[in-house]
Amino acid sequence: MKALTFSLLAEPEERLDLSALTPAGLAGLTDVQIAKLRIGTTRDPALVGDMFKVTGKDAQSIVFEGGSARFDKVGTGLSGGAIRVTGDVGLEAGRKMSGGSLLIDGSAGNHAGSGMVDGRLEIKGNAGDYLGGPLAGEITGMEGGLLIVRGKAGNYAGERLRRGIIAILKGCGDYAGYRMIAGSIVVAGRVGAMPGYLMKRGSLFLDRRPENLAPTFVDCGETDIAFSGVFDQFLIQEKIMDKPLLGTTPGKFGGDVAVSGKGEILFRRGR
Amino acid sequence: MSVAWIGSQPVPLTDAVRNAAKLLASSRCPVFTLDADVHGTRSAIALAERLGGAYDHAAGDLLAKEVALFTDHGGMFTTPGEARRRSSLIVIVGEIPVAHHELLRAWADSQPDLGDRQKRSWFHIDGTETAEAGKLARKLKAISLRGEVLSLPAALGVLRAGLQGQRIAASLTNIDRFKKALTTAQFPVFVFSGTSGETAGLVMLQGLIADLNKTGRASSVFLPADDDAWGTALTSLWMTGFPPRTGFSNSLPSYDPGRWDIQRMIRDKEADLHVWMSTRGGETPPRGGKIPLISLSKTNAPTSGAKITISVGKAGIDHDGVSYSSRTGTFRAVQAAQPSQLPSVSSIIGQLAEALPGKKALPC
Amino acid sequence: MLIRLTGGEVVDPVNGATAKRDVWIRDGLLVDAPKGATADETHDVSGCIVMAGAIDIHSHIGGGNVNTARLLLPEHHRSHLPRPANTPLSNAGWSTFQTGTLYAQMGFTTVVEPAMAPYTALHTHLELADIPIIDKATLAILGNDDFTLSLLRDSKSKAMLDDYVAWVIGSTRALGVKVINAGAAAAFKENVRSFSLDDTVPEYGVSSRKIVKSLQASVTRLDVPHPLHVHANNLGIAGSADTAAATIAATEGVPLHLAHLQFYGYGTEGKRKFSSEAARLAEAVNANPDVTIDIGQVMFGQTVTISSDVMRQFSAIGNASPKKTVILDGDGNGGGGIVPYRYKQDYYGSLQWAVGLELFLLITDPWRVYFTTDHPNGAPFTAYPELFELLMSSNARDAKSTELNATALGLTTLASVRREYTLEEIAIMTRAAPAKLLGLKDRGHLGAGGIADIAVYRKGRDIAKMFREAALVFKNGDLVVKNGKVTHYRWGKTLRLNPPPDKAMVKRMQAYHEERYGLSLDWFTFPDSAIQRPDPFAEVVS
Repeated sequence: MKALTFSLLAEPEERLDLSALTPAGLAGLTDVQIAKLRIGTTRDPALVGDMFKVTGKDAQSIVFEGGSARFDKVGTGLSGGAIRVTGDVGLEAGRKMSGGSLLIDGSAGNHAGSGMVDGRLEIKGNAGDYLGGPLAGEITGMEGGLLIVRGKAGNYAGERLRRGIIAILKGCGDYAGYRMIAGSIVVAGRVGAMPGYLMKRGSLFLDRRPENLAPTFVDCGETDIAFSGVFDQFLIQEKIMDKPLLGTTPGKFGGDVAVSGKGEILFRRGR
Repeated sequence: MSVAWIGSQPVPLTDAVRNAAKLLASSRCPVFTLDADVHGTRSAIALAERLGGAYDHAAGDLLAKEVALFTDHGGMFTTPGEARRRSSLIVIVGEIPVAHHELLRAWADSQPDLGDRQKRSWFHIDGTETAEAGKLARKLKAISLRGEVLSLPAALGVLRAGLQGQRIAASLTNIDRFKKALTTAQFPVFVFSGTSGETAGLVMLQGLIADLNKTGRASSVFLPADDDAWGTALTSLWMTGFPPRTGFSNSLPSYDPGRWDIQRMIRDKEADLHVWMSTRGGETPPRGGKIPLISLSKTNAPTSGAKITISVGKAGIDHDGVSYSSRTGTFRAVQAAQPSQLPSVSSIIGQLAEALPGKKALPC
Repeated sequence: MLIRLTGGEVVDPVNGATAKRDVWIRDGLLVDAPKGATADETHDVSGCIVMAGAIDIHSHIGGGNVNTARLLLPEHHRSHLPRPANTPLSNAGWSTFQTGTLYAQMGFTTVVEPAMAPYTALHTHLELADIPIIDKATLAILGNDDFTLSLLRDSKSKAMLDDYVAWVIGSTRALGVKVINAGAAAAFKENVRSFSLDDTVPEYGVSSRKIVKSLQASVTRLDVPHPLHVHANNLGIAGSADTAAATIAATEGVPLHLAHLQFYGYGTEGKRKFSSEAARLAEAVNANPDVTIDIGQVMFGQTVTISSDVMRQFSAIGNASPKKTVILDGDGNGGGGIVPYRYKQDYYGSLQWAVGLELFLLITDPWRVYFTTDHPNGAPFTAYPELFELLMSSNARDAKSTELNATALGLTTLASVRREYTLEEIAIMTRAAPAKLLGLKDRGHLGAGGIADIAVYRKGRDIAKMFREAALVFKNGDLVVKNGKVTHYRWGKTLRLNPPPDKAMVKRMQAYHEERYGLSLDWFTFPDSAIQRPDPFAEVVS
């Protein structure tokens, strides 16, 4: 069966809430029912049929042909199957997803992977602020799964991460790993100010020494060589990296000691 | 004197209201910039609900930072009155808006009459990035707590770690004097505002205060960057359950400080009509918007770029009202200082609602 | 306008036995069946029971602390489902508008916010004024402020205390006075961490008992209809039953209302040193006619605790779920703490649930026990329908008990208590008795002359459903709810006493505020017009 495909007819005039267009949400719906789903968010909200030409039948595999920074909440609660967007997406891509895979060919807005529990979210372009982070008021961020950004991420990447892995391949903004509880964040490229501020546990893996680290991280010297090797292998196996990130003699900072934190920042030396 | 304009043409108020109502009725995504007392805010939020719009305060960026401390963390707070009466050790955190300097100087001129009743001492913790904050500190003879090349969030981390006895390389000036002051002060108070740096630093500050409360007492006084904005936040909370940067989609309010940042919505061309309020007067709407603008402004001339301008008064000056005051940490009934004929925001919004199709009165 | 409700079974114990009779409304008031008149509007309520509108004496529905809880917890109501618009802002989760809507839909027509800090009275009244449909009232908090404590320390005259209490009631538009963990908030500022009835407040040397007794006497001397409303010391602590028993024993012939007694019903037995003392407290209440109590029933699920008992809330920070809190050391009687909490069906939650029910069922006089969850502290008021069912059906209690922690329930008498509340007892507990306790002669019954606050419930086997969705509700004769949905918006009033201020006390207050706060008294007081609704207040004449 051909993937259920939503081809964008024109750039939307309003933000769209696409949270209903998931394999589980669309299972068993007829074409007519799908076309009548409301996705607009203004007083005069658009329906699926107003925005997309819908073809294909296989709701386990959903494709959005085209994209827009106004595509919000793509793949919300995704628990199985696959969704691919051939362009950009807006806010909260992969929000609370618990399985399956979500692939964004373009860039994502703020809060991509927010509240993610499991599954794989890959963004080929850049991601906005609060990658994997909690929405306003929530006190935990991502709780599991794999979140890969091939481009840059904004500020507060991995805020209050509790479990799972976030990999960012072209650098990120300030406060990466802010208030981290556990889990791992990998960053290749330049990291902004104050990575790991208020972190309790968990690990940040960097391909260079952080330039603007909070003074409440303490230098722990060299670290366990065997572990960094295993982690580098994992990154290569999962096709996240194509060469080792940390090398054989990474340096290590511990913190944030202001919160008696036992987190670690491991980084490649000599760059 | 004219009080209403269509474009730059003076018109009778009823014409301006009728035309504004037409724009509102045909808008798909109206956004509201609020700047009014409690009652103006109540009316504006009720209208935003009816029209499926979104609202923020004119000082929305700073307000969002202040709100985030509460929504994402919480903390320990006390009132200005209690600090004045009970605290002999005040720590100013970063930059405090000029509007509050008189309050702080009044504390400096008074003596605590409860608690340890010691002569008040002042400290000032700041990053290396601000100059403005230093002036107030000098006036209060506040002892400086800062580190070489440390931002305020970094300095707050160093202070917190230092008070826990953690060994770190960085330190702050006068830290020993501060530790000594803490040993005798029974109720130290940290004074901060939305202008005191990143929310992350304020979270660190609240952690520090929580640490101090494990064995002794300490608290903080929050002086909002803008009293009216904070009043709007409180009003919005009881009306919709949420602080500003709330929008109504399908009659359901949702709060999202990014999604409903209305300056962003205007920039990104999501909004198609901007109702801009400015009761403090003398202000111009933010540049960059190309969508139709309805201005409810304290002005005697049409607002530049506005389709419709209606002149309104300010609570406490032109008419009675209710405003938030950081002097007491709560709402205060304010009387017109110079009563004028200018209508209140709530009366104009009431007229707008009744000029909409359906002609239903707003719930407030 | 003459309205007739016909065919219903009228449950109105104040005016006689339950019977089928017509109820007549003329211009907002209840009237006797008019001879020879025809109704302008007739509602056939066959198959329904007809009661007076319900009255909630203790529910935190508005004011600074409630609003701070909203600020702390925006995620609490994020997941509300979209639904069509019906009435203004009624979809706004946990807003003033939704509060009025939901209460009305259950047949409640008067609700008391029991904790107004005097300095934030204007804020409280602004919120209450935006709660639609129902009438409201508030109690002013006293007993932790420097002024009261100084009067007691300096042994000033009773008359001066009375003048102060009357000034506070009048200027804050209160219906009564509440004292919250008397003296503890003041002591906490001096780093005192636990506080019992005979502990004294540093600086003032005044005991908690003395504060309670002095205010109780003052309220009685002032002829405030509602007795002093007491939130006792040691709330929530194992062994707090001793404190409650001592407080009950301290009435000495003067009326006193003890709030949310469930939270004091704990002993120190069992492996976890946390057990039920409900039977003992119920006996103490039964034996002391001076005392009225409300329960503060715990129901399971997510809620948030909101209390001006700042010492208690500070000590509960470690149990916050989710882990974020606000603690406010306010001026005098203000302040408090917001601590979100999830009641689980574990040992502790099960025991608290059972203690509340034991108190409901073992206190024999429905005129002296009041139906509350201490909203939202034990549960949101939206849990009331399920609680009615638990009280009226021992089978429902048994069924729920099987889901709960057996060890905890084994330390209670709940399983052996088979009492089931009758509709008449429900009508007393939620209508007649609250009206009497608050001094509201015009409501709580369906006799001629009363205001036409009426709740009509469709009889059915599902008790919770019956009370969740009233078939019809009238407020002052206006039909406001049909089939469990609000159909008409109106604005109720906030009921207040209005004792005349003593001139010397006003002068004293002016001097006090100028000297201590550097601000004139008008920063702390407000005119009625500040509310900006027509006639926001209604005076209750005692």
